[in-house]
Amino acid sequence: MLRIIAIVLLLLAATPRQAAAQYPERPLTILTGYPAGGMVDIVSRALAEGLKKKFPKGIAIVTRPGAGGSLAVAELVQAKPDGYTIILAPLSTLVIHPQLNDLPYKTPDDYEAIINVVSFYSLFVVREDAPWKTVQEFIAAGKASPGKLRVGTPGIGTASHLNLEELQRQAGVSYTNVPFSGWGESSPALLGGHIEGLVAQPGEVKPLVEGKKMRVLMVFQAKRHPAYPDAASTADMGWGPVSGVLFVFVAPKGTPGPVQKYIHDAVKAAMEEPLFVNAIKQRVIDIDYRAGDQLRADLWKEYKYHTEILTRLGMVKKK
Amino acid sequence: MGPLEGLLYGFSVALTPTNLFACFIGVLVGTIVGILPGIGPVGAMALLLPSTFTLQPATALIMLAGIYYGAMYGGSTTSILVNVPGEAASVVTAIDGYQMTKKGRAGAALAVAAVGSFVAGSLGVVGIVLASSWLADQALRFGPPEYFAMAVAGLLLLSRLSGGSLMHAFVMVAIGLALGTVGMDSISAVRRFTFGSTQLSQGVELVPVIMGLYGVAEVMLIAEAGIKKAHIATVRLRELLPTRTEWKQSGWPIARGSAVGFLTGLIPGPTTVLATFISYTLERKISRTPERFGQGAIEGVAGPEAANNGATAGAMVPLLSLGIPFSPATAILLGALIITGIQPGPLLISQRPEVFWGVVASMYVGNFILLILNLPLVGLFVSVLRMPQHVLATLVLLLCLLGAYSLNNSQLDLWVLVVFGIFGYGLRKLVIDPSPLIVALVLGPLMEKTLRQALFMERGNVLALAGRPLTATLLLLGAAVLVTPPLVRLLRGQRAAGTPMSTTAP
Repeated sequence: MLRIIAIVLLLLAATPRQAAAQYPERPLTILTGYPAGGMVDIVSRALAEGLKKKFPKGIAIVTRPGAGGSLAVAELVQAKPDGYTIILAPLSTLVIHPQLNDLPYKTPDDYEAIINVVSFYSLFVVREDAPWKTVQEFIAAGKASPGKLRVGTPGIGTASHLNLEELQRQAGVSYTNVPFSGWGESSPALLGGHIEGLVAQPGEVKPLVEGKKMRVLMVFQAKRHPAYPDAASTADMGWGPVSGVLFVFVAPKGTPGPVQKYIHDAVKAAMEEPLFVNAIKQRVIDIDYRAGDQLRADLWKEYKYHTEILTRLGMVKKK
Repeated sequence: MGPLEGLLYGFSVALTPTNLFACFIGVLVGTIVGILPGIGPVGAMALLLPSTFTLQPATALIMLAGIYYGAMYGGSTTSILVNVPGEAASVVTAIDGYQMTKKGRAGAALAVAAVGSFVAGSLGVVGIVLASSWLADQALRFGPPEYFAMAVAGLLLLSRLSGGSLMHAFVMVAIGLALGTVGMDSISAVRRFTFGSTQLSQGVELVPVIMGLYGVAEVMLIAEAGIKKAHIATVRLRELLPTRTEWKQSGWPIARGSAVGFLTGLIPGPTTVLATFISYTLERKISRTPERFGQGAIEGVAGPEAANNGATAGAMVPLLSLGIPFSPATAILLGALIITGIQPGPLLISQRPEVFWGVVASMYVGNFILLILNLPLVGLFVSVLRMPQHVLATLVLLLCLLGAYSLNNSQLDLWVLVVFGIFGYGLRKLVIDPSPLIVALVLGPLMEKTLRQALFMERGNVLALAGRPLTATLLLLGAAVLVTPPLVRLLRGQRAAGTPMSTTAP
């Protein structure tokens, strides 16, 4: 009897330590909220290559597209907080969507933000043969005939759309926003002359700028972009802070601390792998390591910043 | 580099042992996922994407593109043999393909499908080589208003695919359009008809609807009929090949299907599906014997099967000449290039000729491999029919479930599959053709989105849309095709009625 109790006690004492030491004993599932081939998909797959060493049981990338990426986050926050399900979530799904729609997560307190991997900012392009050589000229043209110039965005409520709203507010000008469901739709519309301007992402426009089909007039970031040195920055325009795009690894609320640390360390190491670094360089975006309290604070800052913008635009979901 | 020089250089790239092997693997995987109902090329390409990370860019693209067009070969197999489309792009093939199987001409249908795909793929390569950048420029002239006009015309023309009652078609279209509005709308991120369900905000997917309406419904009909011996007796090798008449009947449909498919592929959206519907409608409309369609007309297999392959070639044009992906499959090809360190764009052809020409040449090589891979397999595939029906039906049901789930990893898609399976069974009992529902589900969301974009563009001015020459032409074209046949019939009827009167008058 005593022996049995001793064994049970030993087992009880040993189990937690063993469990922590054994993670990961199962394959890791990385959810993504967008179809294969897109930016989130590329970043997560390139990172997964580097993560393989730390997750010998394997990594499954599960694409779960729908509802602009927020469906996958909704599933993540409802998943078991055991560290075997995480998601690579762009900022918009974390701070914009829960303010527009009723979702099972509301604020950055409803999930564990583990590590941010990249950041980038939208930019504003026109056709290479367009009459406007600078953003000031495009603003002047907009003021001359309000609402006549049409600017494409990847949909209402996206980071790019909010950037366009900011441009209109700061410059006191009005354009017609034509929402598309992404670069595959919006870029042909610009090249074909169906719209006059387009808010897009740096990596998307790069080959078309090099191929002399598009010109970048402005970047929605404080510093000028090294790949587009002639395009004005928000600082040049005298604006305050603007919001960019972050890609954050998020785990369900309650995921154990040591497990979070394991994932954090593994991802941080994978961010230095050449395959990942090269893929990111191709898309002319920046590797941007943020974690811990700073990341949480940044997310809260972005959340409140977007509450302000969305309220001003009258887009916040009515309770 | 001129086109011919470029193509020769491309062959020198595509025919290196590594690239030839990559091409073979690609088309083989493509054929297999094409055959399996529900599991499509997009899923397979996404799954194999990581394995291309360490490959040369041209090799990676050659393999993944092989899956894309290879799937169009395999897709027809189950359509023809068991009336279950292997891909969304093979729904139309089932109409006449399955009837041919019932008449013992399964081998001929499969052979014609393979040859049609080969011809379309090869002609598509010629199209890319000769006119890629010109075609891309022409495609750019189509903006949202034009796409809207095309969707409207398409809905009017394609919704009566296999004849039948106008009322039935109308109801099916209405259901399809309604289904297309479910979920989060892509323009303003508003949820519609989701009843508070987060799951439903993904919307109703096309593939599980198709797999339900055709696959599950077919399985239920088989189950109802009870266990029977396979209804196809042994097929002799001679009967596997099309007869001379059948070849003759297929020639022009294949040529027209290739052209229709290639041109359809140049526009964004689910063009491989649309191309097959357009080709089938076209063949039935211009046929001297339209009554044969739906009864096992080989033209109804040859045209659409050429068209879906042609569309994959057309879809490569905006990708290779502008770096812009028009479809989910080409988006994955773009992703693969980016990871291997290439940004495809207008400069691809001059900066990385080995990628551009290598891939184009590999498409020809791949289509050739597919032909010699698929023709001998015809006999093997036909022998599938000798499998006991209850085993075959179980297999089909399993594959449908697997395929529907693999699409989005979503349980909702499984429910959609089941619900539409039961619905499809009911339709079969009532002898109602579900294809107008499919057309509406494909075109409805496109029509809504492009109309809204067009109205944004013109700031709500509907008349301004009709002022765009291309839009007006497309709308008029649609109206003309719609109005002409009844008008002709009316005039003919009057003349026929008038003639006897004039003879009796004096």
